[in-house]
Amino acid sequence: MNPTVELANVYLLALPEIVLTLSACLLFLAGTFRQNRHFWAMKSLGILGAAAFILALPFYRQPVDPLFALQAPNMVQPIVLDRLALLLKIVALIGGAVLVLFSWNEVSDDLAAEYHACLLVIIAGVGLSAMANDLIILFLALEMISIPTYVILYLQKTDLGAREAAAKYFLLSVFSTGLLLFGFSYLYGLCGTTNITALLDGLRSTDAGRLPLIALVALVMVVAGLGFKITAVPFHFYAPDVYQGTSLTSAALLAFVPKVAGFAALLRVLDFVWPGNRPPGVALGTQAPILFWILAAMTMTVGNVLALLQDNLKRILAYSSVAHAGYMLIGLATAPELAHQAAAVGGGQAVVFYLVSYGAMTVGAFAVLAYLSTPQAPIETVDDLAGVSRSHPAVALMMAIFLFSLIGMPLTAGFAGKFFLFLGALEVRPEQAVLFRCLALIAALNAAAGAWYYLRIIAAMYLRTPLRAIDKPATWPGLAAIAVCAAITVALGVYPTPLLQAAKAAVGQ
Amino acid sequence: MTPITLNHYLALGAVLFVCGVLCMATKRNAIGVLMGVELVLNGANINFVAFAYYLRDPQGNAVFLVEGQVFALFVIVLAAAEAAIALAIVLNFYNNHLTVDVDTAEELKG
Amino acid sequence: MTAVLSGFVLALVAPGLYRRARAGAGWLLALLPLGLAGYFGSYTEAVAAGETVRASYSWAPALGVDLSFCLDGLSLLFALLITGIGALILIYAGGYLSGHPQLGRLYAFLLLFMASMLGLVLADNLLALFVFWELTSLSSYLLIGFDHERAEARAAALQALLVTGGGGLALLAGLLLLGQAGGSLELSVLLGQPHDLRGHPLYLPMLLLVLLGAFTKSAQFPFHFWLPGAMAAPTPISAYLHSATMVKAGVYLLARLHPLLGGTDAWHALVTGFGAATMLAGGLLAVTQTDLKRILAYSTVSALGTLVLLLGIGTSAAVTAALVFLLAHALYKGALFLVAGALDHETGTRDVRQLGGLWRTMPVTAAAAGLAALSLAGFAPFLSFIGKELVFEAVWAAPGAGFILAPAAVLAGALFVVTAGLTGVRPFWGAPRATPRPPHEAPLSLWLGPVLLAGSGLLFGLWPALVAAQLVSPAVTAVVGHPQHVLLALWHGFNLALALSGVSLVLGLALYLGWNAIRRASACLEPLLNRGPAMWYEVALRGLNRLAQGQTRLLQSGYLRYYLMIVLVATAGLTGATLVRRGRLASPVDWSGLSFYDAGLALLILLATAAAVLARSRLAAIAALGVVGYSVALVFVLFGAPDVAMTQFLVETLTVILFVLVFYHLPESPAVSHTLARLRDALLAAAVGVLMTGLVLLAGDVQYHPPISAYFAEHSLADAHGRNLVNVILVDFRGLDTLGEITVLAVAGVGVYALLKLRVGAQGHSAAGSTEVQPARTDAAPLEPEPGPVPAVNGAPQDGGLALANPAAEEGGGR
Repeated sequence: MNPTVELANVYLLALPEIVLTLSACLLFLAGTFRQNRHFWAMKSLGILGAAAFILALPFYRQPVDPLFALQAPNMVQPIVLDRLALLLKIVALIGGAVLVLFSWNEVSDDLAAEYHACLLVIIAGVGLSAMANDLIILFLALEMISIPTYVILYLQKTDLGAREAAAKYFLLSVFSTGLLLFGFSYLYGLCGTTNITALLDGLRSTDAGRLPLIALVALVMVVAGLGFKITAVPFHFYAPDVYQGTSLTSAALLAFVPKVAGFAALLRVLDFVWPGNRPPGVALGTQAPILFWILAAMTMTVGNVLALLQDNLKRILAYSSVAHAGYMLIGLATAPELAHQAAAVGGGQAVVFYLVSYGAMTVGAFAVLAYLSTPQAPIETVDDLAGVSRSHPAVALMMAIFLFSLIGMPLTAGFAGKFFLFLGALEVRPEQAVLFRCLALIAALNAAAGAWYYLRIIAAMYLRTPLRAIDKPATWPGLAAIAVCAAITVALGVYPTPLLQAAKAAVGQ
Repeated sequence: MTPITLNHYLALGAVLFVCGVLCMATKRNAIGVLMGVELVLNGANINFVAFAYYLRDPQGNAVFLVEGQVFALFVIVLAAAEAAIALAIVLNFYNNHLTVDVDTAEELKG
Repeated sequence: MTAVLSGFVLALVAPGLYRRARAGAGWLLALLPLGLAGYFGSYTEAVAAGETVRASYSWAPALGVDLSFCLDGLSLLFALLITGIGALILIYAGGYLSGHPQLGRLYAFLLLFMASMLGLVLADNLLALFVFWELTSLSSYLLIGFDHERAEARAAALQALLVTGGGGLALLAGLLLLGQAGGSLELSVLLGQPHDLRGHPLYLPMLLLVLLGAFTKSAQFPFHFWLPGAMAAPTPISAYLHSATMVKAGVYLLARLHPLLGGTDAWHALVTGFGAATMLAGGLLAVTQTDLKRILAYSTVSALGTLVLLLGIGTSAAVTAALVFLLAHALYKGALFLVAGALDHETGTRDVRQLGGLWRTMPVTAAAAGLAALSLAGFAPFLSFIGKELVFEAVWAAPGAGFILAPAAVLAGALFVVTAGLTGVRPFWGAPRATPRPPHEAPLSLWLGPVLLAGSGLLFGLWPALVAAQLVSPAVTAVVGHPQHVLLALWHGFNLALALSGVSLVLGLALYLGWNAIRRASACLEPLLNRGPAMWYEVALRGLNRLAQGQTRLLQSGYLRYYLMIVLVATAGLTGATLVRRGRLASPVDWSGLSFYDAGLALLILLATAAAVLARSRLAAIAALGVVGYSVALVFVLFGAPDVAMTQFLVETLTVILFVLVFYHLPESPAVSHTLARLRDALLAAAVGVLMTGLVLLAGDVQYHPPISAYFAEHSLADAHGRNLVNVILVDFRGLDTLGEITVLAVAGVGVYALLKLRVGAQGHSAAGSTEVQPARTDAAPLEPEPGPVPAVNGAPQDGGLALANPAAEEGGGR
């Protein structure tokens, strides 16, 4: 292995991100000259397309099974393009395109360039966090997501609620950053390197029982810091308040992007990727599964219980976001055991699958709300959706698909995702079987109870007469965003195998 | 210096960290919360730099591990960027609420 | 598979079809269930021959997970009932609600229900069964709440959903336990294996949970109260869901799981006991009602109780009786409901006291009603007569409890006779009475259903062989678990069952004649009835609501500080738990051998930190913060990191200046004073103290761990081609990082710029402060003309100032 070549590769690997970031800088500058939201939305769509093209370019020359021609993380490179990174980068680019379509008409003309530039940086940040093989790069990538997010939260809306939302998000976010950083500092101190592969190799080489205490503390701090990003209880508090206060586009962004980055970081730092011949997820101690068990149970239950009484749609979706984070945490809790017994669907694999599914359905639901909202008559509460099935039958149907998927009805992505996660918890065989069956039971009861608040929305759409006329002119970008999400939701539900395989390859089990 | 002093610096970092956290959680003043953040980040930085300096290989030779310093550098600059945004947010908050008491921000709840 | 899907698909297009075809839509849509009935009918031969038809759709082949369906005798009986009655109901609904603006929706929901119900009885997978189970609850909710303008209908719909849906959750838990214990979620696998679940340690919880699900769905006492409430639905719905099919799902489940769970003492006691209680309670409540639909609803409850009772007994005679009775009940009760609907439709009332002598104006309806009523009463030669005989026989022969159950069954039979008189005879005979609307004969679509249903009851009674070999035998076989050949006949000779049947008929006729007296007598029981399970449901619902509200307020208070505190306490708790679990804290830090510089610097940082946290004056706090920052920079110098130190110096200076400038513009914040807050802070401080102690002690634990370092000496450095190369790489790699860093800074800078820009535009509505913070305004007001980096207060556009806030925000300053 020639290190010089390796280093040249490092820059090439991040080329899509570099293009996105540089374009974003240009957008910032050029935004002063032209204030037209459609123009800038078109531009950023083009930039995302270019990034996707660059991402796809190397695989064009090696048409044979591109997914398997990738490199493994090593101890030299700060970033790697392995299968997980590639999958998440594709997800990030598609998600970014959907978000651009979604916010086509939602941002004001004079701030459009800044908004789209921030969005591009965020997407680049997600891509970078998926590739990060170094704590510094990971931290930087997470900040590349956070800082533009603060700006977007502030730019989007100017009322009192939005200000409060931005302040809360910011303060809680920097707090979590502090926790994460402190955890990283201990990890660094423990192994003397910031390269994640080297670090985990070092940790694995020690006997789990003799793992220094500081590793466990680092584990707690890293989980607490990333728990904020994935809205795990008790780090979730900002979510309902912030979603409610901010605009629909920002809420969708917050529901999707930090979760992807947060889970990507958890998977990498906590050793859920490339386990080799050792069980994953225990480099930082055998207590990790228990920690995730507790977090998963708390997160699902709190999210679902608090959502039951809500009337504000954004709050409902916020608590639902919390609840779904809980479901995904099951995957992290079960991953070590499942890898040990070579189960059909591993924990990390199920998490990656659910992440994609959840992204499609939740962004879709927000896109529907945005599509139906007007500045004069925003869709805020369940009542506002009353009778939508009559005025907008197609949109209502797609909303119903998203909600059914969030519930976990068969033939939707949500069902497939939940199924893989719950199945994993049920399949744990050894002495901890009872523990994980309890978790599966808690999850099943939660999923069933959670159906209640989604059904209320469906019932309002289909059963009730409209309280007021919703007369928003049809716009194709909004519809396109909704349609893409709906297509993904249904496709993953009907035929989950390809993504399941890709996810399996991604976490290397 | 003996390797023992690493522990002292780690203790110092921990104290800074905890004080910052305490500051964030108890101050009602938004600026107070921000100061807490600064303390937390400084605590982490002390850890990084101390580790970078004190870590050594099994033979007892000092291994100059530059990564810790690099990390600290990034943290400082990012902290500055965050502080800039934070102050803008606080000022806007003040303009809307006419106070920097974060307890007035409780419209969104439930 | 296709059958289930086709229902869902048609449900989607139904409203559109209705818009096109209007009046004919019901007839058109009925073609699907008819076709399906024919389709299922074509399997009768095969199923009767003992075959089980399977279809599965491979969903995740890698896992071997399939969506599988199977068709055996039991499923076939239910599938034929569902599709056959479904077709009639669709036609009937077209006439009953003709011209209703939402009729298309009704069709859609009906088809949705039909497809879910088919899925439920055909599912071979326990999870799929559960999903379809909940789908039927859901579509029932939609159908009961069809008339959503009425608050009563909405409340009833919700009640039905909560009771059956809640039971469904219990069922889910039960099924999961079942799947765990049996090692598979596939019914066919579970039924086929020799593994006996009855001896499993989790058998009792499993049974209780499954029964809870079945009992709520099939309206068993004390969960029966939702069913009469569900009568708020349009009559065709009541006939279809709440009499013929959906409420029988619980019975289906019991029958389906009987080979797995049945036959134990617990099963006998629970299932038989609740069944008998329901049978009697339903019958008694039925005769105290005056609303046609409520009478029928309670009598349905009673019939469901009888079915459950029979399954509880579980002998093959009892199972045969149950299935024959189930078929007969579906036929006559459906007919009676439809008749009640027709009466309501044509006369405008459902109160039996207002109806009478209608046979003159509605002869066809009267004939159908008469047939159905005779059937309900259990007269020969109807199928129900055979059913009743079988019931008495089975109950009498019930091991151990026959002498208690038989009189109960006779009483229930007598109450059936009363019900039959009230609903099928009384409205049509006797003197005509004034009705809200002048009565006239119902149209074809309204009488076709009752006539066909009641007629087939008679037909099957006369030729029981029609159903015995093809339908009932395979179904009984499926429930009992080994092949059964059922022979049905009208005439069994003079035996005990016939005698009991006669007794119940005579008793019933007597009770019918004394109906008014019974009703008056029951009026004094009113207060007792008002305290029934329905009231407890209300109380529980209110309590739950209040609990949830309280919880939400407590957890999501909206106060940022509380959020931070909870996060902090959680982190501290987790860290503490970790430390305690390991139970091994390192020796305290050895403070000897400290150099003067180090000690002094550390002391300085600690003091300054304390000052920053505790200072009353804000300026002092900032100054202290500055001292901390500079001291940290000195630490960096000590550690040979001058570049880091330089950056720290610069940034710290900038930050302090910024803080001072911003503070200058902001009012003093109020001091925290009240006791509660102090107490809370004290608690918090304690938690933090624990955390700090833990971390400081932890610091002593950090050694450069030999195993890890040895590993690196062997691998990492070699892999990276030596140390020098590492540094080379890192320099390069720092370049890459710096690129990212610059980007972040650019974003931050432009963000600040954009915020300022936004504020200039938005200054109009910035002064939205409420009255209680008014004093703060006076504090800030004198500062308005003040130039400085913070144009915020008066919204003056002075971007240049704040752009200083950020070393990389050149773009911001440029404008």
